[in-house]
Amino acid sequence: MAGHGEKGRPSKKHKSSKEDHRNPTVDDEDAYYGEEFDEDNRDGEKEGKKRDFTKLELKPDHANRPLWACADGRIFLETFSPLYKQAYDFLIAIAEPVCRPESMHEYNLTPHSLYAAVSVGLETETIITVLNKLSKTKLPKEMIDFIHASTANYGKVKLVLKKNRYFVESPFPEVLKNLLRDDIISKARISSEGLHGTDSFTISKAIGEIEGGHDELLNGIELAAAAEEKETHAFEIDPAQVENVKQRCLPNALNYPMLEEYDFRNDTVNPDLNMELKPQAQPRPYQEKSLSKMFGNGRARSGIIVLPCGAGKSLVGVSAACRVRKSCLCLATNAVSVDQWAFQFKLWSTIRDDQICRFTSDSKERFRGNAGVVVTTYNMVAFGGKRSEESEKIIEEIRNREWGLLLMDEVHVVPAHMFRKVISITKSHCKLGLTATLVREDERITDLNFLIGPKLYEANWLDLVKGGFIANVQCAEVWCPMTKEFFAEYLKKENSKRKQALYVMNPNKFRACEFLIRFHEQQRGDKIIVFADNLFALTEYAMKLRKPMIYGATSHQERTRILYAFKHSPDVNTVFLSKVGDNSIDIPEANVIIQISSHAGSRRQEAQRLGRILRAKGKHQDRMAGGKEEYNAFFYSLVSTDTQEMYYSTKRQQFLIDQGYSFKIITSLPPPDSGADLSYSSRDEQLQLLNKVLNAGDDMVGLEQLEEDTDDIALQKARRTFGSMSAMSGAHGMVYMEYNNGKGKYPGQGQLKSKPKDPAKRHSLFKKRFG
Amino acid sequence: MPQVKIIAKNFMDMVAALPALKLDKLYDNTFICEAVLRSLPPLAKKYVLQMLYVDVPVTAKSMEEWVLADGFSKHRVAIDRLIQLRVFLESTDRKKETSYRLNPKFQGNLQKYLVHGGVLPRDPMSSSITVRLPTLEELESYALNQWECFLLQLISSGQAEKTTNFSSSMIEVFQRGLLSQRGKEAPRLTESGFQFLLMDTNAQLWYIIREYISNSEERRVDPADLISFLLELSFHATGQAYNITTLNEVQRSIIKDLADLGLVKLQQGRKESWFIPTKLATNLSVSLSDSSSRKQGFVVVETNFRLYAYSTSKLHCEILRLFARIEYQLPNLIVGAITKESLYSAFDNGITSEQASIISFLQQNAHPRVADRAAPAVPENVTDQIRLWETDLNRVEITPSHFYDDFPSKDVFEAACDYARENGGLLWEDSKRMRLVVKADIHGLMREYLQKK
Amino acid sequence: MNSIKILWLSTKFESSDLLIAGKMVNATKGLFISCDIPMAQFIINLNATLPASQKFIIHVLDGTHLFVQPHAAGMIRTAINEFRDQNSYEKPA
Repeated sequence: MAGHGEKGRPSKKHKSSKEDHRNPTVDDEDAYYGEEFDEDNRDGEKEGKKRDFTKLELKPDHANRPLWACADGRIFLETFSPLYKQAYDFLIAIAEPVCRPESMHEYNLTPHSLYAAVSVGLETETIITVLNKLSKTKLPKEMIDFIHASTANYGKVKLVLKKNRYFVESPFPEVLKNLLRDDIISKARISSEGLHGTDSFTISKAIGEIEGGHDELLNGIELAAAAEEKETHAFEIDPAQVENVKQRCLPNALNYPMLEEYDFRNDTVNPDLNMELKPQAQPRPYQEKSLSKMFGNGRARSGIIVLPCGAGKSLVGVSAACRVRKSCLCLATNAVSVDQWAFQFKLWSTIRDDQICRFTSDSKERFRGNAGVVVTTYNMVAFGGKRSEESEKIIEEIRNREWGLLLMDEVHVVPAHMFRKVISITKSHCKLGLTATLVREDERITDLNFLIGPKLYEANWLDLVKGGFIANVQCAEVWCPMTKEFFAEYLKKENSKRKQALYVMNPNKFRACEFLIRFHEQQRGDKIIVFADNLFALTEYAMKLRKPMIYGATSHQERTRILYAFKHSPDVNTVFLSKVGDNSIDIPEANVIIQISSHAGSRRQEAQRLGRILRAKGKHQDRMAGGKEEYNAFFYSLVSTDTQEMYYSTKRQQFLIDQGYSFKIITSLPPPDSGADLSYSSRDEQLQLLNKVLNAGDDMVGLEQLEEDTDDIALQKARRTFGSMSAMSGAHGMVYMEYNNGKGKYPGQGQLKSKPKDPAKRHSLFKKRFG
Repeated sequence: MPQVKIIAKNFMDMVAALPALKLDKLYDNTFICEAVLRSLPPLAKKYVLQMLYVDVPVTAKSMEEWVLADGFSKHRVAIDRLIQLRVFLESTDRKKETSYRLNPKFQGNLQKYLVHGGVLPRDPMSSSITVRLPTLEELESYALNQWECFLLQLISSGQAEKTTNFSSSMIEVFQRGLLSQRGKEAPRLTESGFQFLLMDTNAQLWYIIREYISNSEERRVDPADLISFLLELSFHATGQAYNITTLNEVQRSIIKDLADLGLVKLQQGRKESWFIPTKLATNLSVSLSDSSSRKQGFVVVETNFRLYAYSTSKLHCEILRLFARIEYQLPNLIVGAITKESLYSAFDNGITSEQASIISFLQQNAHPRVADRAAPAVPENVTDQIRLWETDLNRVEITPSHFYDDFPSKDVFEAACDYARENGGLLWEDSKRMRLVVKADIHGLMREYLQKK
Repeated sequence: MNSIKILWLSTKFESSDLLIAGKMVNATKGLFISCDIPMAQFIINLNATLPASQKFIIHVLDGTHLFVQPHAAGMIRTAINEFRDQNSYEKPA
């Protein structure tokens, strides 16, 4: 699914669907897929044309209708319309959100988004009818044509796994005939038993859409039509050829992208897993909605569900597994996350302890019985090097089992090639990807559509805030002027490698940080996390302020100790985290985040960090507007003015801004009269600090490099190098990458172990990073 | 003599600025007396009514006794106003005592008005002659449309669909100060021009009318006649038709101009032609001094700096284009974005972020949906950022200047400093090392001064 | 060091020597720059990166004031604008 770029629109000229899904390459000025890699090089001239749609005819009751639809695919939605809720649900199913602030949303209709619409059961005519009903103007002909053209081939073909056999299904026999003209597909075909040489298709009836999401918008007749039973035709294919057949159907080939649905109710071959949702697991409305998109027609659809951090995607995952009631393989990004998922499964479902197991470098459990849930990491499954004997056995089992549900967490963090590997290694009937952000800094978003499935549902952050489901966060950017001496050094060419260190160690920034910590600790009793990607800064700040810190090389024991104290002790209220805090750590509840150094423009990281404090706290009614505590969470980004940090900071914020957040600018921290209350108030102290920064070794002043941060790599390089990919998959003879627990004989071993041996990578990448 | 300085900012000020003879002539017209009375501050009104049937002068001193001590400043303002307008005539007797009495013309006509009511020099035409008259809504949108067309032509953008009948020289008069022309370049809006566009309609109308009146003598029209007619117009009934033949020659010559500005609508029947005053005309004398008429707001600014204007007006689009990037134009919506780039080009043209300009324009024109809620109508992060961007532009001040050093003595140095300071040209000084920096434009003076020493 | 510098510089620029009481008051024509501390540093750094023949700062008066050659205004403003643009991110259309 393409991301939230502004460039999701189709060009005015209607390309035939064959051209619509070109394989994206980095240089491709791709109009459909949102995330450009290098936005600075974008050609702005094409976009400069004014879009004049004044000639569209307004309907007489336009004031009652909530949206405008333009011929170029752009849709505007009034949130204050009484029809907003239904209109939102509809639009999010058929279009990509561009921005969703308080009063007016913007969406783009793209071939992709229409593909997703069809995947959840919306038919072409329904889409056009409902869109027309909601539109203030008569729908432009171009848009109608576009919808027809884009959806012409989508949803016509389904891949269904029934009783261990794979079928290619379609209500349109001509389409199947078309497919079979292709060599690969016809070779993959298994002829129906008992019929020799005839090419007839098996025919069956399938239930149409039963979900009533748009009843209010459709009249009775239309609704009835939607629920009608449809006749489907099918032919069988060789299980070994499934991937090939799927690939042939992709838009860059035959262009009949296949929908994958799992008819789990009629799967008599795979053993059932007896687990149900506990009664106290009350899914919230948006969680229900997302599940209804997945299970709309009684089968399980593959795809991606997007929910903001802290909104409860675990419950969605567990619910999905409970509905499918077959063995489930759950993939997380790291060992801590594995523990969390296992815990969530036990919390929300009736699954027994012996039915669920974890597979990580620390735990090599197995479940009892012939069906169960395995929770593991992507790394564990994708790893291609030598494993221990025990691990090998478990992997073998995972490989051989037919999983009902492949549950994938944080799909937008994981490298695409890792997905490919995991999906090719494991056999699963249905794949559900969960994520909070549809943003990647590399070009691999589109791969996910075809590897996992289209977007099934995406919740609206602001609506969730309004509903009290996630915290209402006050975001602020604190502007810290550079001191004279620090700025002078920053400007010098010879210090270009230390630019980051200089703007992060800016004494005024330090003082602002100190002030904020003091304020929130003492005056509000808050729990504070301070993020610093730059290790030098992390150490200096934490040590000077005498606060505990955790980074990649911190031992597991130490981490546990610190986090426990953070959670339970009234004396430990602030903890400093490096990038490990983004993924690896189970952060207990905090309600203040201070960023003192972050990463070159990674929007996902910004959103994810915000997610750390989104878990709503306090009483529901207090959190509503006008309640006792309207803002109960605070997100501060400290930025040194007149430096590159300003640029990166604004860039990082784009995703959150598109969701409706606004960053308040604070220019007067710390208050001018703080003087000697805070550190570095004297020029001498400041100069000492400056010296320290200037004299620190080159490798000390850079960013911490964690292997799994693909955005990091992507942002620094224009292309994937051979080096980085092979390092991931262990082709360099690396020792088993059991990262993240930092377990090792000496401090730093955890990190050392996983440092790739590719000299080219270490050299230029590291140096380039802070140029 | 009036003790309060006049700043000609409303219609009545213009009336007051007329020479005595002309002003007196104006008071021949009952309606003008009434209009003038209406425009007076409350205390002045009271004095007029009190003096209405008093035929002899009343001493200033006894008038002062009419007020309490704390009302004295208001009293002075009222008296000054009355004198400026020649409603009160001042006389000094042998004892050097000042007295006031009402202008007899004014007095006579006002008495008549009170007793008999006002009779317009013309009556509305009967509906049997006038074909279907426009409804009040139609009239209002006509007026607005005319006004917009006029403005669009004024800023000489190619957006005006039809041009007005104003002669090009007349247009140039209006454009004076609002547009600047440099050689062969297309005329560009000046700083005042930008601010003019961002003002609300009443203020704009006043500006134009004022220019029109000021220029009338060049067109051989007596400003008093013009003012008189405009004032008279304000007593007509909006939406009623009045025969053109009831207009005198002067009035007939200007009625077309007034139609172009949207003050009247001209229509033709089979044999007769008539004019219909719009709200713009009937509100003239009253509303020109205060901008109380609240326009319906139409702009929504979002926290992500995107702009949504519920408007079909090309003029609104042009105005928004001054500081925002316009992206979509829909039948009843204009979509744009406020970017650093678009703001910087506005700042370059002299529009400020605050003062009577961008931020206040956005605030004053905020759509009711966002204006009526508790949060600020324009999101705080947007207004903050606009101001910050502007301050960013002005971080470095560069002034042509001269640097003086090598002073022979401390005395000479200090004298130089003082001299520069007195002449408003001292930019910087360093008394320890005896150096100073002085503005270039007083360098000549400095040289002379120092050479004399 | 400073005095030599000033002498050398003043031979380059228009300066008028005013004979007063037998001694000279030196007047140098140029531009007075008033700004905040970071901008002053920026301008100083800009000056430092230029080859000797193009250096434009005549005096660094204090932390927030500079005195520079008359022709330097355009160059300074352009450099500041570029620097400012580099540090600000604008979401593309």
